[in-house]
Amino acid sequence: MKNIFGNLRGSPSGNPLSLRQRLLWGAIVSLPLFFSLTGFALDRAFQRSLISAEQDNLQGQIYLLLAAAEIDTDQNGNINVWMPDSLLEPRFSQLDSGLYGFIAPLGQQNALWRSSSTELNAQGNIDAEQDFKLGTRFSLGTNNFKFSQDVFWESRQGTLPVRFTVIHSKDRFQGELQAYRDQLWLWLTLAGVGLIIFQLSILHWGLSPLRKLATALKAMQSGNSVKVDGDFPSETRPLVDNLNQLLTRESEQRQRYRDGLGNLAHSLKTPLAVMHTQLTDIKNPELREQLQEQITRMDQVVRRQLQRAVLRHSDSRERSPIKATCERLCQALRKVYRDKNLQFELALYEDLHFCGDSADLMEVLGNLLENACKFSQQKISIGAKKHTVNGKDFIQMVVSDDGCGIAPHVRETILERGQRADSINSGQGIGLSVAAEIVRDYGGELDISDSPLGGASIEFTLPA
Amino acid sequence: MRLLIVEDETVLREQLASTLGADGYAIDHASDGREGLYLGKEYNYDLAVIDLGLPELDGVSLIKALRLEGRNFPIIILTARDQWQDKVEGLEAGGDDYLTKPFHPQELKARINALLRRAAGHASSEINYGQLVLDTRAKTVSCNGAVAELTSFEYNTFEYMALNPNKVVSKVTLTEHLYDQDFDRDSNVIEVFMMRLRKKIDPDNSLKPISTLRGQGYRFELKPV
Repeated sequence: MKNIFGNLRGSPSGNPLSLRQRLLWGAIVSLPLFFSLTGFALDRAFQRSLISAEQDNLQGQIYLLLAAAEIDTDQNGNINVWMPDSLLEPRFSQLDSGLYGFIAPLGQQNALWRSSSTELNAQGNIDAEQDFKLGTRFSLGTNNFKFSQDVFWESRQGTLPVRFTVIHSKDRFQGELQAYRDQLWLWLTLAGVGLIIFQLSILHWGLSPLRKLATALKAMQSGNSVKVDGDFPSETRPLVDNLNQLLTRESEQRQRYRDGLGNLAHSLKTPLAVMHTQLTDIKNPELREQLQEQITRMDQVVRRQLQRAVLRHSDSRERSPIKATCERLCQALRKVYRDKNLQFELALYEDLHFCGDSADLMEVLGNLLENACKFSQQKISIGAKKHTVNGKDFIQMVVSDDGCGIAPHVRETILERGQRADSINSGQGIGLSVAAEIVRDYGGELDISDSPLGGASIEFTLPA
Repeated sequence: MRLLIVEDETVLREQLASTLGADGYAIDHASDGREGLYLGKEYNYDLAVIDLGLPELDGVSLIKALRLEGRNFPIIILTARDQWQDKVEGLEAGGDDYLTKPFHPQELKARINALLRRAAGHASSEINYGQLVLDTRAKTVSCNGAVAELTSFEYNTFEYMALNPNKVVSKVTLTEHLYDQDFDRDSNVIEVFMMRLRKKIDPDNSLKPISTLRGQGYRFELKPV
């Protein structure tokens, strides 16, 4: 028993049974039980009514015999019974008809009269040993019903105790009962199957709002929607409303956090800019250089730490288009580096999406493309393709240029985890290191190698 | 060259105005977006430096509004929020370059030079007019290889004329582009100024790079080689 419930509770992997499975199991267990009890009760009731009808019928037959019989004693005191040749009930006269009649004075084993139907049949135990008792007796045998009535018969020599007995074979009763049972169970089975099918369709219909909710949540998870949309019944509406409220609040909080940090960056950086400009007024070149270095360090620490604090949305539900983001950035950078007459080669499909915050995607691509623009001669290529690892979709992207490339020892410093901002001084360093950090936050990898174009090639993966 | 600086931080704004002013640029400055828009619509600037985080009207909206008004002078965006989203929005709104705070004043000057040169259609910082060579990066003018000794105002006058060749530039336009709003616009000053400039860049009066059109103004006659 424990095992059955253990199995019903869920699969061996520990996943609980679905609502549909629970309700289905409930119906599968309860419906046969309910139909068995119903069938049993109906069977009993029908059997009772058949027996009662049989009793009435046999009582009628006894009355028939009582009406037809003439009993008297002769001079020797022997009891004689006269019955007409044909009785009203023809089955008494048919051989082996299943209906047998007996008339016997009390205390005698042999009947004084037997209906003709008994002639080929040994039936006829008339319960001579039973005490005389005025009234009727009805009993159920294995193969037949027996009805007897004890009466006092008025004769010339006084009253005679006589027992009238009718025995009726159970064949017909059994036949009727069997036919009834066949019909009953056939219809109950059909009703049971019908009810299970009906229950399944009710389940399907009844659980459809939950299925819709699951689809909406999936759409949200894959970034196709930012809230749970659609009409839901009153029972699930509060759940959906609360969920949407929670999502809105979370997104607002994220925006507030981001704005707050942005403002903090603004209020820290403007004084730094002032200090930077004031440096030109310092005449002592050594002091100026020292201050310059400290201001640069402060700026880099502020930039790096704020970026790390803001860009932590790897749980974001957004789906950000890769191609559109690249095109916007290329357009903007083409403007800034107009003198270089840059050529961007984009090998990107329209349907490639990054599953994460669009600002993070722009930050990664912006940093990498700005570096590429800064160091390239003219050509920059951007490629992306989707691939699946262990059932999870990833976007693999490559940004390469025809610049001077990145020296191997610098590559290691840039990609070192938890690198301090002020320890990276090379031109490409900070942007690349920030990009690498965001990529890692999303569970991806960033690698630096040599590009076939001649410069650096940055290859990285992001969740699709 | 006349520049507009829109920056809400007073100290930084004044520092920028004085640093760039010392280089001979005429500077107008505004402390909020609305004032910046008024100035941008009212005067024909050669370049604007606009901060993105401005009170009244934010930087991106200001740039959009200026472009809608048909103002096509180059714009350098200053931003403390060095998120790419902000930079791209600023560039898409109509900015031409961006600079993240804090920045080195030399960096800003270099960007301003590059944009002014680019606006005049020159790819290199050295523009050769035959015997005369204008170097917008070094801010020098040389005649037959000898660098002319010019004050920053004289250089700017020459640069403005050279970057707008074969165009009649009136004294009023020249004043507007060379001096800020508070300057007393006396046309005699320009005439004296022009005479001195001609003497310095063309001592033997053989090249005659700038001609005077009576009642109309001046015209730069040389073409880049």
